[in-house]
This record gives sequence, C-alpha cells and structure tokens, in this order.
Amino acid sequence: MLTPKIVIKPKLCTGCRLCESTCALYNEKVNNPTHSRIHVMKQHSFGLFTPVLCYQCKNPPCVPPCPVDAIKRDTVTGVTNIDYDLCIGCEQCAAACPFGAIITLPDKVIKCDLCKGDPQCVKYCETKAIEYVSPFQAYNEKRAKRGDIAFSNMASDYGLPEDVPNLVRK
Amino acid sequence: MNNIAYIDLTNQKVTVKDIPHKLQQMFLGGRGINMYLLYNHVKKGVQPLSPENTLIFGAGLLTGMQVLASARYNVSGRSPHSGLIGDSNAGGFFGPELRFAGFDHLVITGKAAKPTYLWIHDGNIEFRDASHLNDLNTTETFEVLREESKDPQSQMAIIGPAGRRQVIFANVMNSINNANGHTGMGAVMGSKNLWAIVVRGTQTLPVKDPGLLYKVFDKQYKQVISRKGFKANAFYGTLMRMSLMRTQMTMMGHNYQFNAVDLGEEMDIENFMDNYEYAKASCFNCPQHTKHIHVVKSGPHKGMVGGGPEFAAAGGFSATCGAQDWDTVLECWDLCNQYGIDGMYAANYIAWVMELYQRGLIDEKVTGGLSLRWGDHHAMTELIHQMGRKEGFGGFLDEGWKAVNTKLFGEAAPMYERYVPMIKGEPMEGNFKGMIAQALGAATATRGSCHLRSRYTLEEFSLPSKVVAEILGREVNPDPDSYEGKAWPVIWSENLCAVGDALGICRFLSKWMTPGFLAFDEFAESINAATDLNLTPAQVMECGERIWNIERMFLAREGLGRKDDRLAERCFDEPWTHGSRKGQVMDKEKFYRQLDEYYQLHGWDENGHPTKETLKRLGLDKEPSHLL
Repeated sequence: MLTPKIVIKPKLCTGCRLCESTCALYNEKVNNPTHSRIHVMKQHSFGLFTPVLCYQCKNPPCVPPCPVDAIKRDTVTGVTNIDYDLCIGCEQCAAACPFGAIITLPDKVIKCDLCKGDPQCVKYCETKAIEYVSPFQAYNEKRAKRGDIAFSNMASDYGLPEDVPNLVRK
Repeated sequence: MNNIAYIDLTNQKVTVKDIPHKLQQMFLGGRGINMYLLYNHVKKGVQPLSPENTLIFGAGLLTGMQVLASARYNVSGRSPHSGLIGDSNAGGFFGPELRFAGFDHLVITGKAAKPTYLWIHDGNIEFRDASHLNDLNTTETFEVLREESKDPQSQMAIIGPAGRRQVIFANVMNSINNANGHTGMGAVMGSKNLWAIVVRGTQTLPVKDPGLLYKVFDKQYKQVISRKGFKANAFYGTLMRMSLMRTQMTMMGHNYQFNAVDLGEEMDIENFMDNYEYAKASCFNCPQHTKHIHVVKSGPHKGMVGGGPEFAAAGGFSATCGAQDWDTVLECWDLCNQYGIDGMYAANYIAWVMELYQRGLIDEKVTGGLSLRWGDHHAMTELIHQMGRKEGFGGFLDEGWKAVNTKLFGEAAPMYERYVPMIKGEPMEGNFKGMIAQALGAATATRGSCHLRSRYTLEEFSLPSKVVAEILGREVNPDPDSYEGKAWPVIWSENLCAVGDALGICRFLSKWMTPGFLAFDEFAESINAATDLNLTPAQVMECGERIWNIERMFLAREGLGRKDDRLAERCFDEPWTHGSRKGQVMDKEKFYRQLDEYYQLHGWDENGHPTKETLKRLGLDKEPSHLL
C-alpha cells in the first residue's frame, strides 16, 4: 500500500528539465536529454509545464503486445521493467503506451524503472514537482486539506476557536 | 570538438570550422569566443545596420551540459545604439538546443535577399522563407514557427515587429521569458533580413568523465540549494531589487532626479506575487526558477499573459517613469516583449522625455499630442506602441539619443545631454551614488554602464572582512562609501562575469548574486569533468581577464580611453534628495582617481589601454590573429 513511485504535481513544475538531463546521464551515461525516460511537456505561451513519465500502470498496456515477453511488471515493486536480454526493439510496447512514456531511441527502447529503487530525477527537482513517495501518503495531503475545511466549519458551529486544525497540530 | 558555423546570408552558404583547442583554453566559449570573433571580424568603421556587420551567436562551453544553470548563450556584433560592443546574454533553452543540434557558435554575415529564417537541426542548416511572419507579435511568431518545425521541442531565437523595423533597441527573444536585450542585437538581426533561428537537436554532447561530472553536479546542487539567499532568489527573482531600491533609496526616481519617489501602495512586490504571478519558470538545468509568469488584471490588455517582469524594466517603468500600479508596469513590460524591445531602454527613453516635458523643454506640439506626465498610463503605453511601430514621437526616439537631442535643441544640445545619461553610448543603468565599487564598475564596463559586466554585489551584504578576503583572494575595504581599494573587487567581478558568460552558466547561481554560490573553484571543477581542458581556478579566472582585455582592445581600437570611463555628470552635481545621505554628492575627484589603481591592477597604461606586457602575458599580443 505504501510502495513508493514517482508522484507528479504539474503545478509545481517550472520546466527546468533537470530531471531529463539527470536521467539521461545517470541511466544512459550520455549528456543528451532526448535519451531521458522522463520528458517535460510545455505550453510555452502560458508558462505551463508538466513532466510525463511511465506511471507504472497496474494493468500495463505495454506488456501484452511484446512478442518475446521482454517487458514484465514486478508485483512487489510495482515497476514494469524491460529485460534487455530478450528485447528485440520492435517498439510495440511504445506503440501501446497511451502516454508516450516508452522512449524509442535509435538503438534501444527505454522506460522509467525508478533507477532500480533509487530514482535520481527526484533528487534534483527543487520544487518537488516529482517526488518519490507512496501515492497513498502523497494524497493524504489532499485529504487533510478537506478535513481542515470541515474542522474549521465544525469548530465555528461548536463555538471553538476556528483555528482548531492548527491548535491540534501544535 | 566545439565548432562555428559561418553563415553567409547573401549567398545562402554555410561553412563549418572547429574551434582550435588553444582558443578554447584561452577564451573557453560563449562570450569569450564571441569577443575574439568580434575583435577579429568587426573592423573599425563597419556600420552596425549594414550587411558588413557580423552577428554572432555563441553558446557557452558548458551550455547544455550536466552543470547547474548551463542555459546561456551570447549574441554579439557591433551595437547600433552605441556603435561599440554589442553583446547580450540570455538563458532559456535556445543555447542548449543549438548545441544538441551540433553547433556551438554561429557567425552570420551579409544580408538575405528577403525575410529569412534558419532551420537548424542535427547538423544541418537550412534557409527558409520568413515573409509570412509579417507583423506578427513575438508570441504569435513563436507559435507559428513551432508549428512549422513540426516538433514541440523546438527552440527559437526571434525578432519581433521592432527588430524587423530595425528599431535600435530591439532585442532577440527566445521565449516569453528570455531575451537578448541590451545593445540592439535585434536590430542587427533585422538589418540582415534574418527574422528567426529555429533549432532542434537530438545529438549527444561529449563528456570527458560522466561519472565525475555527475558527482560535481550533485555537490554544487547541494551547495547552492543550502545557501541562505537561495530561497529568496527562488521566490522573488530579480524583483527583490525593487524592495532593495525602496529600503536603500537607490531609485532612479523620475529619470535620476530623486533617489526615492513615492511608488504608491500598490507597487509592492508582495502584491505582485499574490495577485499577478501565477507560476514560476526556469531556464535549462536551473533549480532556482527565478522567472515569473503573470497575467494582467485590468485595462485594455486585461488577460494578457507574460513572462517576467524583471527588475530593470519593472524598476524602470515604476520608479524611473513614475508608474504607481502593477497593471501599467506589466502592460508596458508585456508590450515591450510583444514588439521585441528592450524594456529597460524603453523605460530610460520614456523617462528622459518625461523629464524634458516636466521642465517645459518639450510640449504636446513636439510629442504629437502626448502629455508626458510621470506615470501616465496612456503616455507610456502609447510611446511603446510608437517605438515598436517606428511611428510618431516614439518612432522619432529611434533615431538615437544624440540625434534626437540635437534635433530638439540644436546648438544648445550639449547643455541638455545631462537629462539622457549615456555611458559609452548605452543608457545609465542605475543610481550609483551609494555603492562606490558598483559605481566604478559602471564607469569602466565594456558594455555601456552595465551591471551585468561587473557589479560587485557582495558590497551589499555586510560580510565579515575575513570572508570577503577569502572569496576575493585579498583584503578589501568593506566601507561602501569609501573611494579606496575598490578596484580589485570590480576586477574580480569582471572576471567572474566574463567566465560565467563564456561557460554559459547563469550569474544568478554565482557569487555575483549571493555569497556561498559558485565561483572560480566550482567552475574549474565543472570544466575539468566535462571537457578535456585542464584548468586551475586561477587559470579559469585568467580566461576572464583575457576576455575583458580583448573587449578593452576593441574599445581602444574605436578610440576610447580614460575620458570614456566615466559616469554621468548628474552623479556628481546633483545631491541625494532623500534618506541618510540627503544633500551629499559623490566626490568627483576621488571617484576618478580610482582609475589610477584600477588601470594599474589591470596592467593598463594611464589611458586605460592594455600595455604590451599585459598583452604578451595574456597571449593577446598577436591579435587580430584570424585563427577563426
């Protein structure tokens, strides 16, 4: 339940693309953001940005099309990995991915594998637009915010200080 | 191997040459190589807006690499505004993409027969028709070109309507957020009928030691993020200086008449952050994301979205021109960006004519009906439209300050020059009365009075003298009001800025911005991990010194000397109007006496020209060497 993956918060992305550079240098050993497993999409005129990368689907559409069973989901980590001993580079997995998150390079196909448990991109995202955290915990924040709104209203009805959520936290 | 593409627009020819290793050791890349090329290619007498001028794009040695803020590139040529060094540095993503496309510098000569844009992709340079861009504003131009490139990851350097009309302070823009502003490089581009450069690159940049580069990067990332000043930079960006100019009373108030003016309650940066900014943006590989994205809330341009503002123009439209609300400032800023005009120049020119109007030296008959009251929304926005379209009174200003001043005042013109303070032909950039080292830097900058050349920012932080001595490598006088011992901090800053620009690393992550940030030690580490250059921090600093000297050689060749290392007269004969220094003036004699020590430390003669010994020591005695 608390298995971490990379959680994306687009509103925090500033479009710096350090994630791309880092991923490419760390995983492919090249200075070339095109060779990254994560890519930042941009609406340039309005300054809107978001990273896109493999969402480690629970029911990955990239797995069935593989003719040699090279791409498989690890049920413990939740990560879908490519076995390069088997992969023939036909790119059918890339064609099946609805997000374009499987990257087709000239001589291989790559996808995010969370750097085998120590994801690098998140270390250099200053705004934490990408974070290595369990989505369950990440979304706790959202539930807590909803809770706070309810608590403030209830406190007001009960004649308690409206700042109840923060008093409890202290 | 880093290379140069020589692009002859007249004959639509491209030749590619590698940069000799020796020149990289001497000048690194970016601004360094650009200035070498400028000195070698742009002879005395070349008219800036003629086909004979050379327009040079130069990505930094480390641009595009796994190095913090390795986003930057320079655009250089002869300036149509001053006739001297045209050079402007910008961030964004154009520089890295140019390198990924296989090119490090572009040397552009001649003039295309009709409006043209370059399409550069993975080793190829194509000439394409740009006429359909017509009079599109910069945002529309970006969108159209991106569509045509068939690749959403394309980057571009464009000129807007102002550049196409060769407005002398037109800029080159690479996004809503990034521009090569000062010295009118947009006009040079327009004069060549080159309306844009679109680039897309998927190539790999060679790295000497990828593992080491990664480690060095990680170390420097942690270093910068952990510094005290980082969070404020990351939140306020350059707008912090708006607060500073308020508290320190160093405004260019109403065109330098006052060091403090009433900005009104609204012109608070917190107000901007809360009510106008909706997102932050970064340049390539920069974690400090100092760029703002905003939306205008009211007025005829309600809903207008823009990048920025940055301090120089925001301070310019507010304190210098008198605007007292964000909607006016942002509209002026966004209009400048849409036309492709340098906002700071626009603000300085507007403030100039506002002071003339205030003093009754010009009136509505001269201005074509515009009432140039301080902060007047209509006057300011209308003037920018006119500047961008080269129409009316605003268009008249495009003839340049000297011609305009002469046409307005005839024989009395010299008497009125004081109201349009220009240093080495470019607008005076700040109110320097308070900070002597910064003032000395302004008087001796190789580009106008530019704070981006050598501003000794550390002067503003009350650092312990031991700390300063460690950073600068020698003891320094900590008193900001003193006229003694300021030469070395200025020279150190010159070297720091030149090296940063040659590497393509943003000065906002260097000690130019904040104590504890990057300087020569860190630059050397990055250079040695990324490239096959092997330089000590001292050698890296010497590259900066060399770049500065070849710039001074260019200026010397143009006939400049000690008489041109000066500040405006108003700095010396108009006292502070507000604050603790009210009534004081800068001491002219003491100020200019600093040049003695400054020249001596530089190894220059009394006229500020590099001596033969200095040229020999720096390997510049054979210039112009025509190696490129």
